[in-house]
Amino acid sequence: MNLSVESIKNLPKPLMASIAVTILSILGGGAVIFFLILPLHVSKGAVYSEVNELEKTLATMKSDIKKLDELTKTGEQLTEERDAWVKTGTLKPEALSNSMRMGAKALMMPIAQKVDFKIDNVKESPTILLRLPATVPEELYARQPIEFVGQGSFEQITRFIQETEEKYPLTILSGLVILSQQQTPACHKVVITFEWPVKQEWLPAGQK
Amino acid sequence: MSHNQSLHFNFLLEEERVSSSPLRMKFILPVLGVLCLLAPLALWIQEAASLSAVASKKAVFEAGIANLKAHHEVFLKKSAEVKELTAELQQFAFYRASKNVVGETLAHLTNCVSSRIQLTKVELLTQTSAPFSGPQVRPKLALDLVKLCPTNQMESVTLRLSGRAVQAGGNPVEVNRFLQALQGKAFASLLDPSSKPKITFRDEAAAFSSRPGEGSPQEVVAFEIVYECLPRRFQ
Repeated sequence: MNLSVESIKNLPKPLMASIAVTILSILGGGAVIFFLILPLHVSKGAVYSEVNELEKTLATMKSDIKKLDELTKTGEQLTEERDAWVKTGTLKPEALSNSMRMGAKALMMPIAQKVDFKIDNVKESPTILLRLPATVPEELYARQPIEFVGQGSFEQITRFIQETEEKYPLTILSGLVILSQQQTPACHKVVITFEWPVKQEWLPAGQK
Repeated sequence: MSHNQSLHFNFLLEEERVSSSPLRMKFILPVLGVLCLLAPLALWIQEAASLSAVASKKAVFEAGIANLKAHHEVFLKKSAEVKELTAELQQFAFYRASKNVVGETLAHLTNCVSSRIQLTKVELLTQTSAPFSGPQVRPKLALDLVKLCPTNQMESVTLRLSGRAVQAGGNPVEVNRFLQALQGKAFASLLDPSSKPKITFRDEAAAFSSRPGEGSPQEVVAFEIVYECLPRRFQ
């Protein structure tokens, strides 16, 4: 079959017309694929992935909401537990002087009186932050060492420590120095350092 | 050449020739062409319908999410609260774990000290690492906050017992008895069983003779015993 230009020109007119229609239709079909179907396909893919994400989100939300009651209960239990520790275990500053030293003294005086231990002086040391858990909480706690300088017999001193350890579960003896006195062999000079957990107070932003 | 042989003449022009096939090219080609156009159009319509279905599905999900949003926000708030409380309690747990009850143990010390021993100083010291000092602004970054916190999860505790003992003939019998008593069960909750005590002796200036008939002369020695106690574990 000869496909020269001359032979094409010599084709019958109806055949020429039908070839032209065919070529135009193919081009039109290509244009439909390129300009209509492909962009639609792309956007359909995007919408599909959006729908999948939304479906997952909705499923997660539904399952989360199902857990809400249980979570509320857990939250209440944890709040109760935390509040109990804060109430019974942490050291708070004395209301009038806003001093931790005085707060500790107020806590310890009744015990000292009970065991006949004489507290002469109370000192406050700088706080030490507690070890951070994996999730850093908003509320941080620190250790507040308070030094009690006093006098008493060995028995009074140990009873003072024992009573404190029993009464305050979060009060920890971190230092003890008992010095015997030449003049009073039965009464020793003592420096006892107890630690309490305290809420870490931060300065407002901008202050140094 | 024979007379019976017939002659065939072809008077058709080249363009007038037609195929022997019943389907003519001039019909087939346009039909195929139109199909080439119609098929993508049909596909486009199908895609558009499918997109519309997906879009309506998306709208349904979006509406569902919008409906649950308020409830879910409550959940997220509670969840954050629980996380915060758990972390706060964990700090208390670390702290509580570091408590070694010593009062009762120290009370036993009087039972171990004989009349020939006098304790002059009792020291119980915790080696505290204290990176934080003084009030300051809370660091914004958790990494900076970590720098303020102790990195070691353990703090060593030392018990130092200083005193005087009466001994005869350079033999520290009383101190040895005292040491033996300290190895007892009563001190197991305070002293680290794996560590050996460090003992140092120093002759005191005051030495005195024994009463007549009591053997070798007696002397007073000053001693210092250092024990490693069970460490405070913040874990």
